[in-house]
Amino acid sequence: MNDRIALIGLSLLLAACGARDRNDGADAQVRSLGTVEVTARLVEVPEGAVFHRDLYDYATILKYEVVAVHRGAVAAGATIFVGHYDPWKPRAEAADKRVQGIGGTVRRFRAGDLHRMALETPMDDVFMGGIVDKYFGKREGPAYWAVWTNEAN
Amino acid sequence: MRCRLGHRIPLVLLTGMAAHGADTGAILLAREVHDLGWIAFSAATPAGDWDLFLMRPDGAERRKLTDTPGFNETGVRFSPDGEHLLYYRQPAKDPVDNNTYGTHELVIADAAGEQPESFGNGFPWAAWGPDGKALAVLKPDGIHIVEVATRKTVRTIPRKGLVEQFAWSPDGGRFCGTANGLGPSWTIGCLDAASGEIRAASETERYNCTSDWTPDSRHIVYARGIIPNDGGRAELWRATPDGTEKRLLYAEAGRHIYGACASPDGRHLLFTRSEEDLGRVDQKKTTMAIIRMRDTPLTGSPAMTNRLDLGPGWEPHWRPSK
Repeated sequence: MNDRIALIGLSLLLAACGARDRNDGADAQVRSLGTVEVTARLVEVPEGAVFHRDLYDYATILKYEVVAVHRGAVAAGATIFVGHYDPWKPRAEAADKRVQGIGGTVRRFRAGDLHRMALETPMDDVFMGGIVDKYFGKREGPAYWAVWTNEAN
Repeated sequence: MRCRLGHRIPLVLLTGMAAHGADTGAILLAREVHDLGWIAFSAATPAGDWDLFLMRPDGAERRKLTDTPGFNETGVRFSPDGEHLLYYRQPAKDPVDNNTYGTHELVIADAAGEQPESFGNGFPWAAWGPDGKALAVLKPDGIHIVEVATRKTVRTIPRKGLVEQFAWSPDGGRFCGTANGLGPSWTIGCLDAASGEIRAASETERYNCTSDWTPDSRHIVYARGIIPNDGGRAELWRATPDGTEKRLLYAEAGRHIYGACASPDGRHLLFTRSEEDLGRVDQKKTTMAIIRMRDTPLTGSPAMTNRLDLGPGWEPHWRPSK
């Protein structure tokens, strides 16, 4: 009997821990900014797509698979390409005088990570600066611009 | 101070010559360019702000065009007739940056810097049109052709990825600038004004920037940039607008070369030499120089005799003699 109670207790504890660790990435910014809101998995970080050079402020294009669509006309399961400004910086520190209003909780870009993002499209209408696009010639259609990028899991 | 060749030679040049012995090559180059108009450029003042300066192409007769301790002035360009100049103004507390200077407040003044008129912040990366009566302005929604007299947009052209450091060809037929969408890196793009077609003039694997037209509109001069993490320095290159012919003009170990400007007769090249990849511009590490086009390709060195060093300054522009 005591063993059963302990087992139930342990299960509840683990469930509680799991609930606490689950993070859907939602906050006021990601739910309101941009015209598209998705949860998507970062497929990869191509070599040379993210480099740290204080003298260059640039955006890099990263590839995502959409897991869930919260707002906007994007199909779940679709592959999308998203531009992130100064990707070597934590999102909370990425905004500057040139690019304002961006942010989020993601600290670094790692392949396989899940991000909840508020996006704008087309990126060209929003950002005028250098873009690193390791998918040049391999993708079609406009890239999305990452306004807010939160960690999710 | 006058040298025996009868030309006023700036102290900085003579200092450099003394270090290299009798540098008759540089003296001859100074003599050659002295009467070829004027050069305007940005340079830091003792107060710490950046003003515009004017001087002969050999560095003589240097004087201020602006004197505004509260502002930095950058990106000066003479109108094609040499009667006016445009430049950008930003608060002195904001650092001067090679990649963003054209996003600030546009000012147009006469060629002596008098009667400055602010156009405000809505005219990014403005470039003179062939007749000096219109500007091409690079905005997110396209290239705006703006009539100077009325400040009104009279035509809009899709910008096709052009984003900064923008120039309108002297014949009016094309635009060039730093562009996205032509390769994995930012590239020098050339946009045909009539067809709207854009092509890469430079290589597309490097971070290229600061392009401008030669006076005959047949070539683009630009900084062939580095590949991050691979080292190297930005070099001065020339390309045809369609990118089919490219060649080195000037490179130098220990210096990045930016902001090339051909002389009005196309026989000389004026440019910025920077110890640092730009970015933010550091006056202590940024100087200007002139070479002859016929001497290219050139590999620079501290002791070279066919380069005229003009001392501290950045993003110079050359006005025809009048």
